[in-house]
Amino acid sequence: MRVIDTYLNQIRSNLHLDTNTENKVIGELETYFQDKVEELRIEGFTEADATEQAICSFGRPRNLARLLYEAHSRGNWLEALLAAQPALLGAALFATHLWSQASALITAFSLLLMVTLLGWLKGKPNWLYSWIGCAFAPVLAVVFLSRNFVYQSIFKVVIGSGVSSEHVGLLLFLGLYAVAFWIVLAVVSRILKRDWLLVSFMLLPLPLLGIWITAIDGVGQVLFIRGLTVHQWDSSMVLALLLLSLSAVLFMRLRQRLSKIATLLVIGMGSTIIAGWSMLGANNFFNLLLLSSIPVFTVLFPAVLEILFVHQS
Amino acid sequence: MKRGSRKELRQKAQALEYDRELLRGNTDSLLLYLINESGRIHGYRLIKEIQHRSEGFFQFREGTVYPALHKLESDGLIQGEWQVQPNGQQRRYYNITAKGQEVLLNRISMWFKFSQAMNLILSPENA
Repeated sequence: MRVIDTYLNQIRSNLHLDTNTENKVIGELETYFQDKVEELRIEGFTEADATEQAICSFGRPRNLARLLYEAHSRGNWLEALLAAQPALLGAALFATHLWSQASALITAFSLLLMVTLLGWLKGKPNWLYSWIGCAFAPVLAVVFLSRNFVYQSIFKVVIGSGVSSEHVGLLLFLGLYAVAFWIVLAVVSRILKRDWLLVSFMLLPLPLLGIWITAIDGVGQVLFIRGLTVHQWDSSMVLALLLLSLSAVLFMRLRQRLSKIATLLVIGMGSTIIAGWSMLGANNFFNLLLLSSIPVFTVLFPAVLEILFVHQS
Repeated sequence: MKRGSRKELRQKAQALEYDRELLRGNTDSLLLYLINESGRIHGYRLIKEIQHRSEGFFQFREGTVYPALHKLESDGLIQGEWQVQPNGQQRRYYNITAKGQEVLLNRISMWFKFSQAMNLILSPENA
């Protein structure tokens, strides 16, 4: 039966489904093989021949895994709408210009974090991954916005200006960086073991948020400052976030992996180009090419990571 | 290889491909029908039943039946449940849902209309 176990393991490694569904699928196939081998043995085959014939009748494990993935990969409309919520929430914050109000921002991020934690503890359904990606956003924003303080503090420590409150602040921020890095790495590696495409789905909003925060930082208007300057890109953000919510719906509803990858690539590029065009003034071919390469990297790099780390192990 | 036999092989392959296409398009209906008729049935039995009833004409590749069953289940047309056998083995049985019965009725009526129309065109009087 070792041959059958190897065959079933090959199917399992290409299924990319959650553990419960994978166990259900593999359990059912295992029963099938027991029945088939038993029947062939009664017909007079040796165990080795019966096993070989049973496996032959099933076809290539990769093909079977693909068909089984397609049977399970489609979420219902409720799941699709849930996956679209973080981008819609972001779009609402930008449409109402509420993102620059601390109370609205804190409420939105608390909701985001709460749903993410609940979803994580309740079996990580597919709609959760767009929430996880957006839950990373405040962490990355804090890391980005604190970088100047950290550089300056490190510089002061290097030239030796004695212990001050800045050193304590530096230690706190370095601690925060370490924790943030550890959380992101732990989450990504865990999801990567299941399916690299979910990592791509999760990371898709980050290039857009990165461009926006770079643009905001560029005009010196960090969070919580009202005014015309700070809200001038809100309409572009609404459009880009609506596109991302559409990508979440399509990602959940499509069955085939290739269609899902194409959706993430096309919509990811679209949202990044909108953001780059309006916020960074990237309006020539070279800049647009450079911008569109960011989501391509975001979507496809997890596949490379899976080949390098998950398949190797 | 002679030219004639190569042509014959190609024709056989095309006919086989046509059979497969026909079968692929109707796999769901066949599975739904048998599940509905039996009340409760497992995957291996379904495969055997199709082969037996079609007198071996429908040679299902087993690998295609399970994904088809799972797709029907995720679409809410059938429902699967595990049952422990007397020998301790777990087996997954399927039964049809109300939505599945509705879809099956539509498909059967569509199939009869389709085959009737095909027969009208292909009947000897029209040749």
